[in-house]
Amino acid sequence: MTETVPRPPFDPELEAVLTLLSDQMPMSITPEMIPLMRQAAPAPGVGADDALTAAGVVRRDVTIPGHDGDEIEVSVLSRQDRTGVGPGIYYTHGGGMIMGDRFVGLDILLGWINDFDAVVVTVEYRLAPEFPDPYPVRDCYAGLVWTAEHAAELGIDPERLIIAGGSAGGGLAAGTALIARDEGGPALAGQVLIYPMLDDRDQTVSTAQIDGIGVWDRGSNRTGWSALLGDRRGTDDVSVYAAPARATDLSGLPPAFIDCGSAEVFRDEDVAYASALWAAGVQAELHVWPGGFHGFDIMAPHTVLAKAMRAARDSWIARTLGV
Amino acid sequence: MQELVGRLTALDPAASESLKVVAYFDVLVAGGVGLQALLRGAAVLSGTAAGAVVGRRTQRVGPDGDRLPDAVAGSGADVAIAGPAATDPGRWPSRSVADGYVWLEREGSPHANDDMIIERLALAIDLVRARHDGGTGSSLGTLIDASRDLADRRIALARLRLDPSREYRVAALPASRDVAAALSGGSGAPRPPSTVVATPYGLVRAVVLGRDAGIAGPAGLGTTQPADQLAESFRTALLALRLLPARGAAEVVDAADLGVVLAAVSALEPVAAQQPDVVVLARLDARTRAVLDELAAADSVRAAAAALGMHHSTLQVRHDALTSELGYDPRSLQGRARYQLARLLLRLTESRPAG
Repeated sequence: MTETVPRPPFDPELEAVLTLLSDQMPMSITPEMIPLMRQAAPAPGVGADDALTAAGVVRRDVTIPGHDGDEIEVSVLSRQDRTGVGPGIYYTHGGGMIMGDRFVGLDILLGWINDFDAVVVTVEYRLAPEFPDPYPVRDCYAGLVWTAEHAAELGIDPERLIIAGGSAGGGLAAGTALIARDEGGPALAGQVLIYPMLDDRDQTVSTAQIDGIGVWDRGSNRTGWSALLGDRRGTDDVSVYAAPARATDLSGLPPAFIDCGSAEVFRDEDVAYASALWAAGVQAELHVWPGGFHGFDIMAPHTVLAKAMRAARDSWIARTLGV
Repeated sequence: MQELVGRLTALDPAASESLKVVAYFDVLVAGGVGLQALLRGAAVLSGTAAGAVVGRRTQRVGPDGDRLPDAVAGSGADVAIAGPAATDPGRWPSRSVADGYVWLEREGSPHANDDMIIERLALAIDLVRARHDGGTGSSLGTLIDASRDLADRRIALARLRLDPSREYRVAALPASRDVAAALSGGSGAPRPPSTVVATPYGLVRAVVLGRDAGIAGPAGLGTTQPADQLAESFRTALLALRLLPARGAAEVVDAADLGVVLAAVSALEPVAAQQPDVVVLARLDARTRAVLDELAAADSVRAAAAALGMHHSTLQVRHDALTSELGYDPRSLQGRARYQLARLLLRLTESRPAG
């Protein structure tokens, strides 16, 4: 694929990482690759327990009712020595709606658990295309309802419960927050939307810029949305809970934290979502990290930009949770 | 998607991944990053702390990219600061850079990529500093740049503490050479100014030497010049470096020894690749070229045969065939000059010093 549109350059430190990692990933994920990519990934939780043990974090798996009452699983994570009631973080993992498990991004969760003494509930929502919209977002919402209902038992202060997610999980977090508002669900103290996947319409400048380049490019993004929405992708028949960028009323939503890179597909929809929140009178903090590709904080955690991104995010969470 | 590729982790301790190391630092250098980012790169790729002493500043970075205290902690229990001596270059695998040195804090046996990481780190630091900080590298870059005016070069001389009334010569080295190792002088002597410069033939390290100082090969030695005319010395040093017989040969080509031949090859370089005498040599394999070198240099065919380990009558037959192929006899008086010139021009057309 040739570059036809100018785009912001990658940060040099991140580009160096991309140079080394690019031969380990397909440039663009097509629908045929979905089964292969899932096969290549370890089974849910494999490897997670070592990291949990090393961090002094305990894990409790609970089967809960998901969308339509089907059984889904959540893991409750907290510091081993934790007592009393404190902040809670409900987490929706990333993976383009088609991949990943509830331990994707565990490194970031462990930081929150240790730094804020938070209880994390991470949800194993069902994946597209086998379980298309509304399964993923409705499973996520069901997990949030369960978390809020069991707050006392989990040691979570219901006043200090936030939702957080990255990438597809960021979109699901935003969609879950919209459902909670509209259906009188649990009150959220905040929403942490980490480079969220919000818009199925594929019409932004940033999606045109990140085509055949970077991480999670335009083609991969179309694959993810098509798996979730099928033929409905890009039509009028898409709910705001599946694609929160389509929401026209963002009033009454919890304060939001949004971050992304300037060299990723999601840049423009993420910036637009922050602007729409401000327009609706909702407090929001937005960071666009220059030259960042999608997920650079996880792929290149040693870089100065990744450290700055995580520090800014953690600072917002600390202020929001009052820790 | 991050979960597909995981994260950048240290390179395989046992398998050489030189291309990755080179690519990583090349991107950093092209992006004009600073010293900290270079150290972070070395630390993450090696999986151990990386450090640099540049000028009077010591900087250390851990494999997670976080800065470490300037002094190396003792290997004991608590954070016993061992003092500046712990950054002694002898303690770790290290390499000199302009104004200092870099190291990897590798405990135990070295990993397969350690040498390469240190080499590229040192190189990148010299390049980036030459660009940024107005220090030695940038001053030396000015000094050997013919396009800079005399006033700039005089200022650079002062910064480098070089005597404007003295004569110096510039040596050109493959960029990856360790300056300290290349200098034959005692370790107590002050290190001469050195920097890495980008040339059309790749990265080259330039070192300013006193007129009588020596250097170990591979290197090209430029002509001796007044202090404010060192661009000419560097030009001839670069030519001399490119005239080195073969990549990796530990020889020194001294521009001063070449005299008018250097001027001739320099003048002819733009048309060298089209010269029939060069074209015919370019077609020959390395062994045939070695035979020709010996024929052109030796006192007699018999002596050449001995040097080549061939029977002299076999070489005589070869000599006749080669004379016919070249169109001249490389052992005749005129043919020798013709062969030498063509041979040097061929080296110029083929030279691409390894970074």
